[in-house]
Order: sequence, then structure tokens, then C-alpha cells
Amino acid sequence: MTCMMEAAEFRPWSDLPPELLGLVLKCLPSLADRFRLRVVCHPWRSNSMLQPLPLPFPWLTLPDGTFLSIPSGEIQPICLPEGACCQGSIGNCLFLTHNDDVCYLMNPFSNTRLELPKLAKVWKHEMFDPDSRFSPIFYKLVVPFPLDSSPCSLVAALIMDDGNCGTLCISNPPIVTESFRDDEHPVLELQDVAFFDGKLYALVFHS
Amino acid sequence: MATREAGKKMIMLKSPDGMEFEVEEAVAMESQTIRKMIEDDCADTAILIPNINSKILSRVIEYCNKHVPTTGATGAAASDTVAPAALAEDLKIWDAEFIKVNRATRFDLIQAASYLNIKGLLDLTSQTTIDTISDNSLEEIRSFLSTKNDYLPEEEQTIRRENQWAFQ
Repeated sequence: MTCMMEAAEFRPWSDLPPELLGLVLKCLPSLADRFRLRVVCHPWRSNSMLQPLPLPFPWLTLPDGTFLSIPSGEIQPICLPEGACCQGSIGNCLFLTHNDDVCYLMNPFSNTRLELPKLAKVWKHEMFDPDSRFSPIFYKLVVPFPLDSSPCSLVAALIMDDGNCGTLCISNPPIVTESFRDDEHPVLELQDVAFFDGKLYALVFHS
Repeated sequence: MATREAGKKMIMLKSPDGMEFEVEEAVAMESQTIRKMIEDDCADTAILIPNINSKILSRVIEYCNKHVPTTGATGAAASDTVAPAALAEDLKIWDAEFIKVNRATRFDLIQAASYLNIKGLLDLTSQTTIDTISDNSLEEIRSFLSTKNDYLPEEEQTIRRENQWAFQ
């Protein structure tokens, strides 16, 4: 018995069965904690990949470009590429605009990028007046399938400008970006968009 | 074991290293695994608990003894006079003391709790692991859990560099 107990003293926690590791992971709602757990050792890394986990708590974007982690309240600085400005997010991706013309989605955890070709140009082109004084003030991005788990990277972006007018741009990287703006019927104002069952729906305000 | 009141159904739990523990059936049934065996009539007078040595099994029984519901005549006269909130607080303090064990014992307890399906003990043992991970740096986690770092230095450096945010 003594031998058994002595042996047990040296039993490494890397031997923790996957289901028990999963139990621990499920109770860690913070993304940083989950990440640190995965980096403890190789068995924990591979076993943690097997676990279906509830979504971690979201991060809140703060005006200074940092992120507030919930529930710990930690401030997480994420280095953005130089000259990039974070305009929004979708899933695990940040929506970045670069010098007004380049727009892309970047996953800050894997550093993968998905460029939305010519989004800014298309949007400007669709304005009533190309030299319009209107500027984009709000971007809402929607996708039919989660970007991380689907080979389809279709993204729809509703761009609201400070004239309270919405333009819908649909990007199917890397090929094309198209936009929809009802210039013929400017009374139809786009207010919101959402994907449901693979179809894109728009909420329009009809004055 | 203490002498039990007459009429209490007792059950014998045996560890693989040959030790025997006589416990009240109600205490043993804190374990859903044992409860099922008893309810399915698979339990004879003695139940062999494989994989759990006597040291750990005795700790598990200690936990179950403390946590068995004290309603009825289970020898806990205190339940009649003490408010439920005070009892819960008392159990919390007791749990905090109970789990002050070394890493290896905690590792065995979490496995035993899982095998025997004792929810309270599983929650308690996993919570201490969760606290270890939430409150400490990677080096401290490895040290607390006696887990060997099997990453190559350059491999770990790359992971850290690419995910600086998780190591602030």
C-alpha cells in the first residue's frame, strides 16, 4: 500500500481523463483561461480539442481599442496591424478598415485574415454623390454560417452613414463585393439585416 | 467505524488493496454508482470498488458521511435546531478544509468522484482545479498541478508570441 501511495504522489495531472478535463473546461467561461489550460501540456491540448464547449463569455470592445474580458474584468490589449481601425466584429473576427480602402476580417487568435474586396470603394460608388459628405458611422456584419466552421465565407455588411441611410454590401471573398442601395426609391430605408435559414432578410423603413 | 444504531442497513465497501469499510447504506448511496448497484440488486453484502485505494476511499466515505442528508434519524440531532442556511455554511467551511490536500490526493479524489458519480465531491474537486487555472500564470498552474511542461522551448515561445493576450 505504501508503494501505491508513493507512486500516486507523482501521478501527473496531464493524465487527467478527457471527460474530467472537459468538466473543468466547461466551468471556465473566460477565453484566456481556456487558452492557458490548453497550453499546460500536450495531452491537455489534444484532449481539450475533443470537448464541445459552451461559447465563452464575449469580450467588449472599448473605445481605446482594447477589450474587456468578462467575467474577470481584465483588459485585454490586442495588437492590431499598423494603420488598422477596428470598426466592429463578428464571431471571433474583428472587422478592420485600413486607410479607408482596404477592409478585412481578422481573427486575432489565429491571425487569419479574410479580405472583403473593394468594400469601401463599392460603398462609396453607391452613394448618391461620390463626393458625398456622408461617412460610415456603423457597420453591421452578418454571415449565413459561422466563419470559423464553414468553407463558405459569404459576408453581408450593412453600412449606415451619418445621413441615416443604409447600404447593403455583399461580399463573397475573394471574388467580388456587390452592393444594394435602392436609389430609385430612397424612401425605402434599410434599417437592419439578418440571415435566417440561409436567406438574407432586410428590415426596411417605409416612410 | 462507530457503532451504528440498530436497524440501520449497513453495507461493506472493499478497496482493491484489501481494506473493508462498513458504512450505512444511505451514506454509500451518496454515490449514484453505488445507489444504482443497490437499486438494481447487484450489490451483495460487500461491494468491491475497483481503482480506488483505501486511502482515497476512506476520504470519499468521510465526505459522504458529512454530506448525507441529515433529515430523519441519521444521528444528526443538530439538524432539528440549526437553520438550513447555517448548516450549508458549516458544510462549506468543512468542504474547504476537506479539500486542503496535496495535488496527488486531489487528482485521485476527482477521479474517484467521477467514477462513483458523487456530484458534490466532483464539483468540489473540479472547482479547486478551476480556481488554480483562473488565478495563476501558466508556470504556476504547471507547478501546482505537477504537470510536466512537454512543449519544446521554441514551440512554447511561438505560442506565447502569437497569443500574447492570454499571457498578460
